[in-house]
Amino acid sequence: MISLSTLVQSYGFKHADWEVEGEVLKTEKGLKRISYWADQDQVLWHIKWRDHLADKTGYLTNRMIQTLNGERMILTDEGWLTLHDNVTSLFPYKDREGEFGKFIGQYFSLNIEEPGDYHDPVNMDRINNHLKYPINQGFSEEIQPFIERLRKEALLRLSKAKRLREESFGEEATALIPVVSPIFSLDQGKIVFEKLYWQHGTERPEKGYRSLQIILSQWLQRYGKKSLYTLLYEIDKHFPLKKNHFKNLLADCLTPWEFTLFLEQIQKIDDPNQMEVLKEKLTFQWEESRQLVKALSEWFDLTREKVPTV
Amino acid sequence: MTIQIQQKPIGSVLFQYDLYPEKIESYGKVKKIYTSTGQYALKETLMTEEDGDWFIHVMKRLERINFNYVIPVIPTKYGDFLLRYGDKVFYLMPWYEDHKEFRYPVEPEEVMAEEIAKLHSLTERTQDYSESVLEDSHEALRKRWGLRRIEMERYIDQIEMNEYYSPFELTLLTHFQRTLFMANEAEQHLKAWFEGAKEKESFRSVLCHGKPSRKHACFDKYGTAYLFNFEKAVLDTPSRDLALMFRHFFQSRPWDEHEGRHWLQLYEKQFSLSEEEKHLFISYLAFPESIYQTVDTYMKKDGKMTEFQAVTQLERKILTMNRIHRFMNSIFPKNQNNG
Repeated sequence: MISLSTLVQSYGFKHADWEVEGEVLKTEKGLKRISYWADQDQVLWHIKWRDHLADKTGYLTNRMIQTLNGERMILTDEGWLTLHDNVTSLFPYKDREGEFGKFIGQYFSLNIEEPGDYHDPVNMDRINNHLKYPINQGFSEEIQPFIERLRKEALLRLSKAKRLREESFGEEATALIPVVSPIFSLDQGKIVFEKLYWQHGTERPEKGYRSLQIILSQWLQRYGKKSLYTLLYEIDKHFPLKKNHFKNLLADCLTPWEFTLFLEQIQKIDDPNQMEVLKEKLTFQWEESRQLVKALSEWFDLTREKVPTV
Repeated sequence: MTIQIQQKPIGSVLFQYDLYPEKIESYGKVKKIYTSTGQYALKETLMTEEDGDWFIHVMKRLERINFNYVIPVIPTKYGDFLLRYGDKVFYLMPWYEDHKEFRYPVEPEEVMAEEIAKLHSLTERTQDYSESVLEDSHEALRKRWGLRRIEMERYIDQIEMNEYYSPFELTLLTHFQRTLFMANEAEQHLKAWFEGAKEKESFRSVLCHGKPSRKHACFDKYGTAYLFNFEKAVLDTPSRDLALMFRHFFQSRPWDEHEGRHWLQLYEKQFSLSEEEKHLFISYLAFPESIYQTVDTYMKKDGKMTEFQAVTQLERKILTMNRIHRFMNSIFPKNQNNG
């Protein structure tokens, strides 16, 4: 773990103490959070991404604070270290579709140099291989029919997603697929002096619409369909959803990634109670996906692609 | 409520400097920020992206060449020199108290003349000679001045038809021939610069502050000036910056040709002008643009000035023009006017 004195010297703090050892620093300039990175290319990509995002949108994000020597990262025994502000107050999204829609639109249209390595979470071939045969790995009699029924429905969703992908296939459409810093929750939005402060993670850059799907799905659950439409309308002004991204976005929303994740998780557990929790979670996620696809389809006013009810 | 709205962008701007204000005072486009770690000046301005990049380049260059008579721009904790919010741009500097009285007997004009000369000296560059560039530049200025003359002559023709003249019109008519004489002088000096540069086959550029004036300098108690507001800085002939500074001096206090020569000597102690650069400097000063601008404002009749104010301003500028004439003659005695 990096020593306090190294941090104090590098960043020129007058006073610093651990708030959470190795993670959060308490300084005269406020609370600072440390991130560790194993891959230099990844941290360099994140520095560039965050700088460009702040420049383009004018919003605050957890950019890398520079050292006294003007360096944005420090090489340590544990890899590269970067320092950020630690902001905890959540951004109040209610009735702020315009502001947030603009931010998200600019986020997904931010076109920086493509990283050498990125995560492509919706790999249809991999999912297809996973689902095309009955899954029988010694599950109990209660769970087996549930899995089999969902497998068939997941295959149906996948085939619709593949069809949408094929329809939009082409060099131009492929080139337009965004590569972004992954988003996992609306709670990454914090507030600083009434302004949105976006907190990125340290994950690999991600290609596709999974992050957008999460944002839209959570928005729908929290603020309802009418608010979602206003948000989509605002996003569309900066990131042409209707014109360029609709089919690919819908394809990613239809892809049953929540089911494959469920399959991965149940292989690691024996406890029937835990199994029930995962079943419930999957049912909930499946329903969220269905509601989102329905809402998106209505908004786009195109052929409905329906997710069967569990 | 109003106070809250005003404070919001400032808050998120200052957050990027890790500054937590205890008190904020406004001085036009500058806000004085009091914090536990000291006082800072936050400037709000308008700049295109290109202008912003150039401004940063200028500030970094000043640091590289060790030009110490400048108030530095402080970067954010992320290393940015400018913060952009829509069309607004913010940048931060340490707060320098501006002294009006000094421990030593110095005049602000003298100090500024020396420091601007040092700036020019440190950034001097001989440009690749191109006759067409020189010609274009000469022609453009000559044309612009020609057009201004025609505009003014038209206006004079128009007011001469009036049965009664307003006090402003009467003052202008009385001195108009004098302004034409000065415009001619300006053109002659411009020609002398052009011929001289052509003959030498060289001209040089320096980093011009662009707005050198007393209000863009903070003086410490010892009388050292620290320049700021390099937003209009350009690479151009030293004559341009020098003329802008002298024009400002002429407007800000009473002066005579001896004092003008003294300022020029102080400047030339640090950075000597060539003969043709002096011609260009004098041509910039001699052209009565300042008087024409007062006429423009009067013509608009937008109620910004009363008749009395307009006349007072015009008379003051005529007085300055006459002083410039004497100053010009002291540098180029009559028989040398044509270089």
